[in-house]
Amino acid sequence: MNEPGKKNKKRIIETAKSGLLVVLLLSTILLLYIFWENISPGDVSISDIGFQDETEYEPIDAREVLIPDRIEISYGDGNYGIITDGTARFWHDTGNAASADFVYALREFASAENVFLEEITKEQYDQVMAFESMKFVFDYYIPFAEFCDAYDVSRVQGIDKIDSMAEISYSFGSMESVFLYDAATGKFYRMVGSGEDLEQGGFAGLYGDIAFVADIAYPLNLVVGDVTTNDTPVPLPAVFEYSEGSYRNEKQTGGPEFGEELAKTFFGDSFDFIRTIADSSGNMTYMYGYGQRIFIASNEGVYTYKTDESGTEDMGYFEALNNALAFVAIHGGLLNSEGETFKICLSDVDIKQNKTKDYEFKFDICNERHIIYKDGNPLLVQVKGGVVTYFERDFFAVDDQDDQQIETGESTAANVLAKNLDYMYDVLLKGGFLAEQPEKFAAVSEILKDIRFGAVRFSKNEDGGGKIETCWCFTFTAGQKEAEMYFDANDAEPKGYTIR
Amino acid sequence: MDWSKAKTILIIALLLTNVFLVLTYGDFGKKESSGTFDQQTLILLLSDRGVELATDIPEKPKAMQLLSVAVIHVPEEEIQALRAGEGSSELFDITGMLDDEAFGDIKTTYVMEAYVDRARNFITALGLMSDSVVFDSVSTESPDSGEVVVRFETMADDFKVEESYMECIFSQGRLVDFESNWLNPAGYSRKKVAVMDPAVALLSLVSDGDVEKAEAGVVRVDSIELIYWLDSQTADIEQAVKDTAFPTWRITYNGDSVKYFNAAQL
Repeated sequence: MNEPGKKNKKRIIETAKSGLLVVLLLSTILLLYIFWENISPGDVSISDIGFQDETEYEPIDAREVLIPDRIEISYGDGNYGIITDGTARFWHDTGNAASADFVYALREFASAENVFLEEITKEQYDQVMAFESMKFVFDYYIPFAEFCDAYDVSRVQGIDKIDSMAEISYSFGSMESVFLYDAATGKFYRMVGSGEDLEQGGFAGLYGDIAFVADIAYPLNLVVGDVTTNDTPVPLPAVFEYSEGSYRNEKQTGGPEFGEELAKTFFGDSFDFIRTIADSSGNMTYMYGYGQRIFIASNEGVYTYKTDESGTEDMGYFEALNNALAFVAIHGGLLNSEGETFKICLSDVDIKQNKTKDYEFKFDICNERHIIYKDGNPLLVQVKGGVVTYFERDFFAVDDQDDQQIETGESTAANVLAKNLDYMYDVLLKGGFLAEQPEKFAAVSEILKDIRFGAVRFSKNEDGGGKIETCWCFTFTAGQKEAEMYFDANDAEPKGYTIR
Repeated sequence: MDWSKAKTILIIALLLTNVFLVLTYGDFGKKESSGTFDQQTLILLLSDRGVELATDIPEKPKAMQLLSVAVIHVPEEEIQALRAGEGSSELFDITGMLDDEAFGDIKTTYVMEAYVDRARNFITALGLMSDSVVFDSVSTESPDSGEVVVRFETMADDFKVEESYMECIFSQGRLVDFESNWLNPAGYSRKKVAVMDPAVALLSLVSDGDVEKAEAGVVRVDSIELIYWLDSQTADIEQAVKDTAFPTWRITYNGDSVKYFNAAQL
């Protein structure tokens, strides 16, 4: 009778010991955590103690964002074509390296022996482009030697003669050559290859693909007559894709929590020690130290980060671009607050030679269509001395969208130009783009740089949302200044303008 | 293996570890004295650099949390509406409690208490009364003027929140105005931050180029105090409705000059 009772008592003691052991072990872990992290015991949460998932970031390759602004086609018989949306697949398909794209063909071309680069005149360039040709046009300059290295294109003889390229072309008028235009210096070049088998090469096939899908376009001086020498292509599609919809900013869709989560990516472990200021307009400022690093989540859904801690490293173009893109990837990536992934393309690059080479990269959203912002930029990153010193993000979420095909009818670019000549002249005059003169048509036409159908994200209204609508977009330039005017795709009425 | 014995040993070991951890690293709100220098060495060091210490060096906590504060703006209309409300005179004025001659006699305890009581009533009616509201002073320019100011300040975790105040202004025993720059404690940071040694703050004062020496050619330090402070120089806080106050050493020198040194060691 005694033995079982004793055994039972011993079992109870052993169970109690095991329980106590578990409690002590857990309390040791808890104490170590509290003292290690310097956390107030009242603020400990179980989820903090567990292993935290390492956030995985989707890297962004510089080659994915370097996309031609447009592809211009000459059919060689006085007819022309243009592609302004979806140029990426003809340029460099990173998803399928073996497909026919320009970079692939260029790589093949430059890998031949004895390819060399020489300067040519503008007249020679224009002459050869009048044949069947395709021209890939960028809105910014790309250092050519760095471009070749980044895209695995062999450096050809004489590559040092050219600094950067803004256009790269191929013409059946000189099938053994690839042509380049350096807009920074205004010089033209051609790379001369052997010419063997080029008819069957990548360029020929690519030309066929592009020519098949390009919209009809004519040079402006052909459309409006002798009043101008400007040969900017004017698209004349019979039908076009029209879309109208609305958007909301990321603060509206993601709430203040979205801004806070984004802020945490900038401050990491020090997030608990930053100064947080909320103002009466709904803006949040997150500040580290004496303002060395500041992140602002505005009530309009614009997120800005700046630091005065610039670096000293003199970075090359692609290195700086990759640096900027890595920064974007880590800080929110390309997902909007609704979890939709955007595609971005580089839209402008500003390079300043200070103590180091400083870069400012602007990006646009280029999903199926290139979205043109009336105000601001979707993404802007400044890299100084190898360090990202400024970051600005203004993404959005599409609320509703109605797509339809519309016949151009009376709403042609030429009609928009004719109907709104006085409006354009007045805006350009006020903006200092031109001086007062009697020949308005000639004056306006001369500084016209680009005409296209574009999906325009109009300014935010009081609620913080706005409209996205396909419009005729006319871009004018004078020196460093640029004016962009928007016109209704149906009745050609002006819908506003922006001056940059 | 004797599991029972092993468990006992482990229990004792863990128990000792926990006791060690708590005793070594536990805060318990205790304060510690300056660890960088002993007081005499510091006084000598400061004296060599032209700084005369006319105050004791305070103790400091090991670590402090940052303080989140709500910036309270009381609209003038709300103040006037409260004043004009029914029964406001009984609640906020001392006219019915004291004789007219006593209105300026704030040195008398019951007069002072009457003012403080009425001011508290008004702050409660504004919805701002909390444990953080601490009475600071009752003052008057002259007892004959009949104008009396009752001032309250903010305390958070036993530390003063700098530049946070509410003032109830009485004239001839009637509450006539209310002025405030109220920073209401709204929460603390999750993690604590190590607090800078006061000796470091004093030495920073020495190296601060803006600090002017008094007539005798020395900088006389009158007080050094650990407070919560919003730095208005590094951020525009005019429109702020919420902000973060940092532990800061407030040094008063040469009479009325003040310097702030961020005490949070990030």
